Amino acid sequence: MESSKIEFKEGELWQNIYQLLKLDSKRLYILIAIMVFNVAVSIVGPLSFKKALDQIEVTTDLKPFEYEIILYSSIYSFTIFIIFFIRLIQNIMIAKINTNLFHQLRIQAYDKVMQNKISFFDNVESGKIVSRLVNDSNELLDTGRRFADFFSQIIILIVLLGVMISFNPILTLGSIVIAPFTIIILLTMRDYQRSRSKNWQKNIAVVNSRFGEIMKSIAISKSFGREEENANQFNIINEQTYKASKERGRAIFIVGPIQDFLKHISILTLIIFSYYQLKVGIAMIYLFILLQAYFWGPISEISRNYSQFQSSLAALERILSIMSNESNREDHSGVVDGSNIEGNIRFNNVSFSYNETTEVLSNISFNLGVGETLALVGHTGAGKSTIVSLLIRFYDVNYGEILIDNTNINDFYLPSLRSSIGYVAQNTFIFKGTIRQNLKVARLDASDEEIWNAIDVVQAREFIENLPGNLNYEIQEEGTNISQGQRQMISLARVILADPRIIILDEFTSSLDLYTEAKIQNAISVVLKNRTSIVIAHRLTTIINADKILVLANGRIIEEGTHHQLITKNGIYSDIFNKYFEFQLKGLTPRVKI
Amino acid sequence: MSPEIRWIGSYLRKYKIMTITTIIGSIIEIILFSLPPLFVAKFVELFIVNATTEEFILWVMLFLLTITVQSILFYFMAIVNEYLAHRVTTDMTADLFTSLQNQTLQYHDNIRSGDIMARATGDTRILNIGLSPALRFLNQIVFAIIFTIGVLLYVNFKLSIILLFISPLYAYFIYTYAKKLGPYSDELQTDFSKVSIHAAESLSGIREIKSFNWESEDSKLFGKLSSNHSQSYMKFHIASAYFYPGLVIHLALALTTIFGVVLLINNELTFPELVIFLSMISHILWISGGLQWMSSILSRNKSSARRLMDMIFADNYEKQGVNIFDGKNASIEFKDVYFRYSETSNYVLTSINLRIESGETVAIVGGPGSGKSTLNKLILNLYKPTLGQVLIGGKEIQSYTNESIRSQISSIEQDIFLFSDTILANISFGNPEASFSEILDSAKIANVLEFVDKMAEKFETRIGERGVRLSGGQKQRIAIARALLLNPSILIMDDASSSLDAETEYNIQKAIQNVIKTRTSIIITHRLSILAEADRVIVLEKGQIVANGTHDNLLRNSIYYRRLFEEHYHLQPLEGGI
Repeated sequence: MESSKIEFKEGELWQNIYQLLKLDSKRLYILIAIMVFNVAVSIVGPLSFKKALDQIEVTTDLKPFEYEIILYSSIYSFTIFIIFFIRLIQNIMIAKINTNLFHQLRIQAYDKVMQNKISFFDNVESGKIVSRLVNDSNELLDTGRRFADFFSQIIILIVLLGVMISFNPILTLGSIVIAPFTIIILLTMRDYQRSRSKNWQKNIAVVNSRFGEIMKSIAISKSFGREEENANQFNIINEQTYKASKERGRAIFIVGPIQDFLKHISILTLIIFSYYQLKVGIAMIYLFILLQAYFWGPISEISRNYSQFQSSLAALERILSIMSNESNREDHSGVVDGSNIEGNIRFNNVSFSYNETTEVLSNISFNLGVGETLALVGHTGAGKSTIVSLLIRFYDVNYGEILIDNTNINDFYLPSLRSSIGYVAQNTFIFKGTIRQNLKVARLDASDEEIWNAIDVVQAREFIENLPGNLNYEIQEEGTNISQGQRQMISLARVILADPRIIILDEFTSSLDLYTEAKIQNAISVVLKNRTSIVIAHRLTTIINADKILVLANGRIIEEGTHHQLITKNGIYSDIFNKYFEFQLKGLTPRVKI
Repeated sequence: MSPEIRWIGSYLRKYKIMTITTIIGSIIEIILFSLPPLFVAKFVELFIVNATTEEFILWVMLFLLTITVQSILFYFMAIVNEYLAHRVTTDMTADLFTSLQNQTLQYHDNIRSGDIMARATGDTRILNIGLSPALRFLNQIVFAIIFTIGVLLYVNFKLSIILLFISPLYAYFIYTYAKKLGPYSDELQTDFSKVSIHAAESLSGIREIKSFNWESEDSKLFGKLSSNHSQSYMKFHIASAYFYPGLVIHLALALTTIFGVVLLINNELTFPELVIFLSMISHILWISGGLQWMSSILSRNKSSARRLMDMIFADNYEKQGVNIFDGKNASIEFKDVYFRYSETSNYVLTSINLRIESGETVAIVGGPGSGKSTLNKLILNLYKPTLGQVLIGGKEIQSYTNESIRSQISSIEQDIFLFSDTILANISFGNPEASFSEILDSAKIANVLEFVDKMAEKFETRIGERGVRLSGGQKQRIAIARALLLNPSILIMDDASSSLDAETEYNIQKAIQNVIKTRTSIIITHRLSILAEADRVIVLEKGQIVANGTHDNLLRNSIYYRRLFEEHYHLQPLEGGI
């Protein structure tokens, strides 16, 4: 299931970079032009100065040429000055191109990842995803410069090659005969370099994930006195990352020295060629020694960039593989508008398993009329929460079908389906932000009055009014600065505010005391009245009033009916029920009629 | 020396051999760098003097030898430097980890996991680059500056005047420039953290995001943060592009060149001297470019080091005593305890006075936010009371070592967090040395065995990041087994059975009865069955104890307690009233 298994060819990676750079193509072309100009100026400067020096070489009395010499040297001085400004513009361009590139890539990747199925998030630890989205995109920060550099260096190479050939083809050959080897070295090394980089980044993701997970749950580690053991385990993966970084270093840094070596070898070949070409004169040979240096500058630059770029390509590959795995994507192919449904729910022979090995639901069939309430009863792990996750399409059924108003839920446009279903999960999640922001997740345009109304339904007014700033009270990450019961109240209010046709309540009052629960129950029964609802609860009162009860065991429906039907049946339900009484009532008489 | 540099230095000192090799090596490197041009000059000379083939071959061999040695040395140096950099940052990550683990929960309440991750892997990455290759370059630049100045002074003092005059100014400009970059790099790293924080939090809340169709809104928020980060990246790089010290040095070099030619015309300078001077000038230009790069790297390193230091040296270590809590007298006493989570928030507990005897079972009830869970966190010494004292076994809780307190007090928390690991590892979390039969025993009591047996890989079954593929009740049972395995003398159960169905709870409850009997137990619950069997029930309301007594007693006398049940059950009329 891990999505990183998709591999990319280098060509595809370059193409992706090119696509991203194209968004900013004007700046890219300007940058390449500036870079070429920069090199041209740095060559013109010394050449014009050489002109001055030529004069100096031939005469000893310089006075008559004073004007000319000073002119040429002033031109040279001026180019020194100009280079500063060219470099300035060049760096600004690079900053802009790079910024655009990695920002675009990151938001595209984030967008895609958020469209993935829930099963993807079940299987890939969030710290690893964060590492790909955030750390890996950082590795791409220098891409713009490297890309522009690459092109400008190639232009320079071609021009230089033309100049050299026009001077002396044989000496040119002597200068460049070694060059093809550098390409061979680069091509043989690149896969190794990229795989080592990828391995290193993968290790960093593991460190990231483990680090985040431990710190997020630090209270548990502390209460179990686990700090030392945690540190030992963490050190193992931390040291593994160190090992991976060493391997990466060995792979990446080998190219520079080899390049240097080849560059010097090529001096040697030029010298040897020159040895047989002495007739062309020392001046020409000296010129070629200079030109050879100019020629190898871009080559070293390209190869150093290229090999360091393997690290960026590895990062890009990791990002692309997480964003382009279509099999992880949620299916948005449905077109039927689900925002105005009536709320009839039908399960036809639904079977489901999270993985291929164990079936969590088998052959679930039931029909729930508009406005009815269904209660799911059964032991923990019987499949109650799974049924509701299928309805909201967190997972897709393996066999059978789920219909809402006689339309297969897969045919609905997914966001419209979800907007019609309100879901209060077992583990409520509260976003970092104010209480108002948390509620507005349900409806962005909700007014404060509507928000307070929803709060009143869940009986949370008193606690919110007691908070400093009430609706503006800042809730911390994962809601740690309010109690679990209060979190449940807020997430319930959120769903009330969304005003959906179908409401799913999964253990929504489990952390509340009986007094608060009763207050909420009363208010919520009004809300549920004309909506279809599915409730999962272990508490008697919730179950007894349901229009229909399904008793589940090991993913199968073993009994169904109303409370009275089931009680008279004397089956499993009445067994659970009696146990509840024996155990739960302790001599008190419940108010509900049984 | 700034504290950041001193801090990084303290790591480098730990790896003296690698550090010294890097420093000396980089200087040798730059000396070797000047050898090939000398060889070239030699070859030209050989051409001019028409040397013999033998002599020519000799020099070629010598050249080959030099470049081979040089390349191997370069590689070696690069690797040593790279190893050193990663060694240091690996240590920093480990230190950050250890330090964070030792910080108080109050501190943790105020930091966010995305931020921690950004520092642990993002900032260390920047320090990485700062150490390799920047450390090597820094040495080379320093060496090159000394070398260049020496040569210039030696060749012609007069011509050096402009450069000498400008040098202090240049140094001062570099200093102010690097300082100017400071705020930009701070902002850059802070914005980077925000991106990481958002991504981490949204991933935790992915179910809520999807069920409310919040994806596009969430992406918009992410896009805004990402854009802020990239904007500050751009601001930083544009600021660093305006390398105004460079302008000064370029100007000085241009003037020197013209001045040099004038001196030459006036015969105050020989031609070869001028040539040396000019090659030195291009050298200085190279150094200047290097300095620009170095100051931007160093500025970012300073921010990143600061960010790591802020966490590593945060003075919020848990304070602990030296006494060992052996669990023999497991009584708990609250003496006039007040508590709030931060100085700006309301008091969660006020004036709590409570004594729980060794071996007693006390149930706590109360509305949401009444302070039930907080009370338990104080018993675990996870937080320190704002006012008042918590005594365990007659001694103040802070006088014990945390280890002994926490190995004797075990809690089943409300918001269960399981690790992405096997079920076995999760159960043995608090007691990694436990034997398999001990694990099996506690798994049996907690009814874990019932569902684990049905799994293909039994106890070796891996569970997702937050144990996603287990039902809420299954997670609770694992948490119960985890707590029981510690064999604690004080057991705290915070709403431990809320997700359990009546029958499973009944089974666990029966099994747990024996466990509870032999130790002090505090149970937060709303279950009638547990309340009825507890030795005592305490009712909390808005952080205060409003009733304290047996279930039957309170049911007859306490309006607060009766209120819990009134809606659900027929109660006898109120008797006395508390």
